[in-house]
Amino acid sequence: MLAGYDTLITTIALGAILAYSFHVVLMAGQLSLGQAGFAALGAYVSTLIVPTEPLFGSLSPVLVGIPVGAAVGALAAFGLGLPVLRLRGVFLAIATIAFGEMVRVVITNAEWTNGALGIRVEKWVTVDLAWAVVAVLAYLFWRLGPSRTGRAFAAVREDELAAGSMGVNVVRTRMTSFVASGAIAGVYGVLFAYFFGRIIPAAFDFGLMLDGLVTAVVGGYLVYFGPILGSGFLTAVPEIQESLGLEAGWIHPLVTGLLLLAVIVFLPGGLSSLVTRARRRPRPPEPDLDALAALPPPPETGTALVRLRDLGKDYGAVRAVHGVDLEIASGDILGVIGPNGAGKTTLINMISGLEPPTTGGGDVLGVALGPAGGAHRFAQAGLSRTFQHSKLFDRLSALDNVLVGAHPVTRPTFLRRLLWLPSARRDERRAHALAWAQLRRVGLDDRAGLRPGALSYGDQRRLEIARALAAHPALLILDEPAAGMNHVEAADLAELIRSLADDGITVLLIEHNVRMVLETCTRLVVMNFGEVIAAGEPREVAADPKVVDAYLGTGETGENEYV
Amino acid sequence: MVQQLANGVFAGSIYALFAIGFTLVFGILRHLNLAHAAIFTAGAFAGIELAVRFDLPVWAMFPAVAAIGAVLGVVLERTAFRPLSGRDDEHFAGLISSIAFGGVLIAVLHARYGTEPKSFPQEYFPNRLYEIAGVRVTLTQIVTLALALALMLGLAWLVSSSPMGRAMRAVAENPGAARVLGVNVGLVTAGTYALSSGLGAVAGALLALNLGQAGRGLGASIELIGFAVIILGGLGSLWGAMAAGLVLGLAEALTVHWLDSTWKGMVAFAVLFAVLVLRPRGLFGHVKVREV
Amino acid sequence: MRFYRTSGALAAAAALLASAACVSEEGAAEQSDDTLVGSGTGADCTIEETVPIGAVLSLTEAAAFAGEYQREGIEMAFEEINAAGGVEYEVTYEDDKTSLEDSVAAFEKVIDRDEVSAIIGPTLSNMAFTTYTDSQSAGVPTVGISTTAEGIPEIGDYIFRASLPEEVALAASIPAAKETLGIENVAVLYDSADEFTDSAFNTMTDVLADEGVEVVVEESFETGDTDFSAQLSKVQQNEVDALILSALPGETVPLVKQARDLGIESPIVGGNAFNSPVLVGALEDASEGLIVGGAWSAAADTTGNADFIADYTEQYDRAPDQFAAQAYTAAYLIDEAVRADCDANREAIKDNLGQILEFDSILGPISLAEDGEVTQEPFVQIIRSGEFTLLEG
Repeated sequence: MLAGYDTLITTIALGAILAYSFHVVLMAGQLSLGQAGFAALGAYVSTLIVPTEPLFGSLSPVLVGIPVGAAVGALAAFGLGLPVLRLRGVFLAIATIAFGEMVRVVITNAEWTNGALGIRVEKWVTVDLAWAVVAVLAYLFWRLGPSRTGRAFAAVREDELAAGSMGVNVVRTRMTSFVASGAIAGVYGVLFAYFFGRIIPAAFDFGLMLDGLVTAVVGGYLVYFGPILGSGFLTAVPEIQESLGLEAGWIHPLVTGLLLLAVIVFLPGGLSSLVTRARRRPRPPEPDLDALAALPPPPETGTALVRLRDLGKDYGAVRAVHGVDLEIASGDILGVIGPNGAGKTTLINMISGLEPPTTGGGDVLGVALGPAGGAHRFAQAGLSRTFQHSKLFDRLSALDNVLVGAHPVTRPTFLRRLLWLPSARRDERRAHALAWAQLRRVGLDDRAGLRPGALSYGDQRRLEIARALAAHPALLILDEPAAGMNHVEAADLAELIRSLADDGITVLLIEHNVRMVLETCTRLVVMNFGEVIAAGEPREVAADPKVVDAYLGTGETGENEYV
Repeated sequence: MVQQLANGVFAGSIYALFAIGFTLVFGILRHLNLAHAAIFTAGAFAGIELAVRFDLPVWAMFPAVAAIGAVLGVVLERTAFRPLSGRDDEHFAGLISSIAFGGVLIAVLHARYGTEPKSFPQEYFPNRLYEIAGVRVTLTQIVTLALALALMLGLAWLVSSSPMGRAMRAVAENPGAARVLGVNVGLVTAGTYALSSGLGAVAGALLALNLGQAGRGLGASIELIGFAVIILGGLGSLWGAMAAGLVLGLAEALTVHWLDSTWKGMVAFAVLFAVLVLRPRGLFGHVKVREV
Repeated sequence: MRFYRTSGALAAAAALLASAACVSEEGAAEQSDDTLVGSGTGADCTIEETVPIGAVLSLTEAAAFAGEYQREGIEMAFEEINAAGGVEYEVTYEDDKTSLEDSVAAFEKVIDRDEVSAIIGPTLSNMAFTTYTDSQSAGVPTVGISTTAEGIPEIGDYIFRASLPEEVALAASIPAAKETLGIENVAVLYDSADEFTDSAFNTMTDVLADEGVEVVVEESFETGDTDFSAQLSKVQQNEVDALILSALPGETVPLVKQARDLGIESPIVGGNAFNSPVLVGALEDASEGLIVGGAWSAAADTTGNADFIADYTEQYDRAPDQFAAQAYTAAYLIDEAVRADCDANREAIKDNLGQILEFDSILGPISLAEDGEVTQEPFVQIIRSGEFTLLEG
């Protein structure tokens, strides 16, 4: 039926595989463009190992090459990732492009690769084999999307800081996506070599990188079948154009360029957003009280959760915070107030592990503050927080935002989802139950399918609280949650905070709304110029003349807020 | 040896000229404009066509090419960047849309000029050879270097001292605040692209004059080096781009001189890679991005 | 229950994957079509059916500089042959866009969908190395017209070339240059990133060693480079008698110009890719003294050459080059093979192509061996006053 079109159909498969190697890094928000280098290494190394005769009489020798290519690509990506993954955005992109070019130059000049003359091998890759690999990849990404790992990828893509604060190990997630990309690119290199029967260094150049990136983006990197759509589309365009009799050499790049421009401008999610536009509204499951009940109980009232000794943070010559001694015990609702620039946000950034202190130390939920860093370690220990300027995951639904929040109290499900294990289904169901419970708690269960951008400002703040609560925190830090809320909303919020305390959650609240603080908090700390100037029972502290002076006198000097 | 240093300086001045337009857009607007190489190529073809068809002398050809480049820059901004502004993925999408725009532009050049390289008319620019202290230089090389320096100085003056430059710096600092202060951000954005693309087009015409011809791959051949130059110089830093262009030009020439020309293609990327790993802000990173 | 069903589906999927991993060993489909057999032989041969020929060329992108000439050469040859009568050919032109993927797809199209009797092309050796294995396993006789790299005919018995191998051209031009100009030491510059130029470089090194010419400087560059001053300065430091260059036209022009601009006046000896009037046009004065070995010369007094040049120039409004001449010749070689037994089936064409002996062409007497290799006398030319002239040794 399709005789005479084998090459075309295989080319679509190969294009899709290459695009998947970009898809996986784009999913995690990493603009990594070294795939041509990984593919080249995978292809060249595999030619050293792949046997020249079919295995067991009939099996394609490429079955040996595919794992070799994947391993070589993954190893190369890991080795490259160690130095370059500190970089972000354009810097990462250019560093990885540089890697790809270096690989190409080395291969061009090396002896064992036969230089520009390339290596000839048997054509062992058939249409079926190429598509089988595509099927496997599509299956992997299909199962990855709604798994805990998949959500971690999405969270890192949308906001690394927030993802870390939700317990996602950002460094490991970025490295995972990077290594996966290397492995897929390595497989692509092997399939390319054994489909065309020949590899030359020039096949793995900057142009290959552009092709893969463009295919991944045109198809859409938010949906698992995006690369297949992208590759099919980009392969079909020139065929259609030729069958229309438009054969001049410039028409193909012109049409492709215009279509690409149209897709990126009008379909931000790529072609696959056409298919997924009619999204189902998530239906709330029955409340699952068992899931909530099975969570560990909060620490006993009075246990010290946070102990800070002489904590300080300098930014160059600016002392943002210094000499803070503070203890927070389980059951407290601790309010922190102070004028802008007093160091409140810096203080909680240190407590939640986003910034290492420059002096002093302490421990939070048993995790020591220090340069070892990683907000996720604090989150996993039971700390959860919101941000002064909301840091929601913009391209995830409200429900998915809250599901990411449940990261620390759920188990990884990706590998078990691949095998359709019932336990994975149970875990996912439990994660959903936890998420829905928090959405209900803040009154957003009827808006679970909306993206944050479609919610009102007050709803966004509540969603952030729901996301933080889904982590089942022992200590919850709220950074100016009532900012921008009207009186009614603020009153509801105060009510919510008190009810959290009733559930045994310890709360640290930064707030400018002094009345709300006085009504909800059991203890109050006042900061000015980076120091604690008063602490104790809220009403007493509020009456302290130093505090009144800080708020009404010298405080409003308009210094910077260190976020 | 001295000859090789001179070779490196001339090659480097072309790299720098390509890169300053590139880095200008990044410094002010945070856009990585991947259509810059296509505009560079378009500038080369435009220069040749002006010379062949209208007999335009060199001194008139370059301003005309700059004007054509500026117009292309505005079209680029309107079609590939402005529709994306305000989107979550603005910067990433801009990367892709500029690749698309570049592809379209190259296809248009293909349609207009065909597949074969185009040449300047014979004797369009008298190419004399001078020998200065044992170093052989051609007139085109001298003109290239002088023009590159003049354009870079002019640009630096423009950004630091003119009202337009002040508005650009305000936009670079904070577009929102600049708008509140009465800066026409749309106009400044378009102006930045016009300036960047005008420079890119002149650089293209200059390289074509050096080579005597231009093909559609002209921009692509220098694009990757351009990446290396702007990162090495510190993204957004004009002086950094100039210095880095010369550094890479010299590094390449010296590699050929001391080592082996097979590694010439590797030098720029090895230097770039090392710098990124050791000093991610670039060699001249202390020149802050916002100062442009 | 659900678990068992899904694991059943998994098992089925696994079976499918396993079958996908098998290699099928299909032999070349033996097919013979009686309608492609005619009566008479040689010039009298008449075949009722139109004979389908496939031409896969790089008509766009990087190698279009050659592909366009080749298409015109083939077109003109078959127009002449069809006008002469007896056998009617229909050529399907496929553009491989100078890309490997498109080249393989184009070969598959002409082999399986158009079911051609013979293929001409592709433009680049690079692609030939992968596409020729396909036409070989499909059993379609294929004639290369610019595939000069080493190892092409060895791909199989269906693979022929009417393109003078680079080593033969160089083996003629380097000794001729040595003899007439008295060359003792040379500098070699080559493009290390391109498969064709890298292969030619290897050949040059061998020939220079055989001739006892000393290589003083050896430098490389990459396809797409624009500045060669660093390499040329090294050449200049060492007084050499000649510069041997292996480069594609895109780099040849700026390189030779820069060499002349820098004051390198020594003669430049080039490979096959030099043999083009376009190159001379683009180089202008800088082309003076360039020495080229090639398969065809406009200045040669071979059978039909003058008519070929005149007709081509009239029809396409530009002078033909070596690419056009070789493509033109390949069409005549295929016609010769078809008429030998008056049989345009693939097997017959293959058998008879290998028997062509001293066929009188515009390239001079040309022979194809059974192993697919071409034998002809190379022409060594030198450019004087912008014209190719034969370098008489």
